[in-house]
Amino acid sequence: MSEPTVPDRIEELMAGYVLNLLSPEEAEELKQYLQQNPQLVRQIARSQELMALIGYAPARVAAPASLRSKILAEARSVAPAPNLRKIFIFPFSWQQVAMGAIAVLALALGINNYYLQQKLATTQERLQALQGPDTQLFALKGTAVAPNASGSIVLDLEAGRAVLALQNLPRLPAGQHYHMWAMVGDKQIRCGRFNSNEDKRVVEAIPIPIDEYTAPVSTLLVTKESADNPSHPSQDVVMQVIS
Amino acid sequence: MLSDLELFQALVAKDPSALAALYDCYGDLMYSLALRILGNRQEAEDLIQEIFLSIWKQCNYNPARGSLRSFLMILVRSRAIDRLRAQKTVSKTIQQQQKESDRFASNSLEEAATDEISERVRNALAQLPEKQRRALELAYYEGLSQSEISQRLDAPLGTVKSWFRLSFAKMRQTLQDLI
Repeated sequence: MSEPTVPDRIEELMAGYVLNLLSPEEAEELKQYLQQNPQLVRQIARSQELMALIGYAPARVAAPASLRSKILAEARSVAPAPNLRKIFIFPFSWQQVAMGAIAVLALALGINNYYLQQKLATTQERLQALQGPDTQLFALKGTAVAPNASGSIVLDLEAGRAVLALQNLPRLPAGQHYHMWAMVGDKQIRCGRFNSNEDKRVVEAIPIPIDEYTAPVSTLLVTKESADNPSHPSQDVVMQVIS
Repeated sequence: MLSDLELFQALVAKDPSALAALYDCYGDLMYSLALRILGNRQEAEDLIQEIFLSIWKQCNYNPARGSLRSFLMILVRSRAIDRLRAQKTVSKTIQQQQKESDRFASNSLEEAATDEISERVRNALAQLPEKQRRALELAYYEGLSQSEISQRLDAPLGTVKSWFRLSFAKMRQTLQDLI
């Protein structure tokens, strides 16, 4: 892959950035350069990946056998108890939603592996674990506007974000955005906007306004909007939850 | 092997099997890096446990920003360097003796089977001119600043900066199909 020609000074700053070696002044200089040359963000991302790869170089040493069980035991002890903290009630079968979402996700990612097969064959108990006290998983499909679109959205209410994995969603031109809406009681709350990439996919985590979720989220909608910050969803509903 | 997104979504959904899967994928790799930086088994073990539990409580990985592998390895390096810096009040002699002892043990007794990626990265590092590689190792594994590396390797600061530029360009090219 050919890389854009970059002044030596900027190359030095980019290397220093991923090694976390820049002074505040140097970081600011790089930031300003990137604002004018956003195409270099990709090169920085590649350098970050390179940084991760350098971590493969040390001699591989097996972690102590007890470490795995210690971590899992500790995780179980800090996991919130679903039955005690659960505040969100799903309006439809969790099994239906979870299996639908997982199947769609598998298709979206072209995956057919043991893990997902296990998921699809899972028990009700396992689905309850997947549900979690502060997360909601929704499977979505396209409307007539985008009939091939499909995917899943996880609302992480504790972290205040949504994780989107959507496919076959046409990329919108400049000036238009997809907006996600949550139905909370009788209100329609705008939760953030996004666009798909050139492969018609969305793999993204976006912040959501959980303070406005004063009741359980009953369903989600994805609309196509021309306004930056619409107060209500347009009639252009592009995706909706599989019911 | 699970995709990044599968693992991430399952972690966000607090699926305990996702944490186990994450550990099975990356546990030894992360531990090896932590041990290389910290030079002490107990410290490395504590750090890896701390990182996995922090991910379990609040996974800050953003799939739009890069691979899960990149997120984890950079997290290990960053937190290990933080610990290393905090240790600087401890006697350097004791620390160094422990480090050498652990390195010997890891090389002689427990080095596990390596993989193709590791071999390629080691080869790419080995192809760098000696001082470029050394500077990169001092920054990566010891968290030294560019000024400290300049002093350690007795080279002008500008030269050190150019070494990083050249070594990154070379390695990006050598490992381009992996990044």
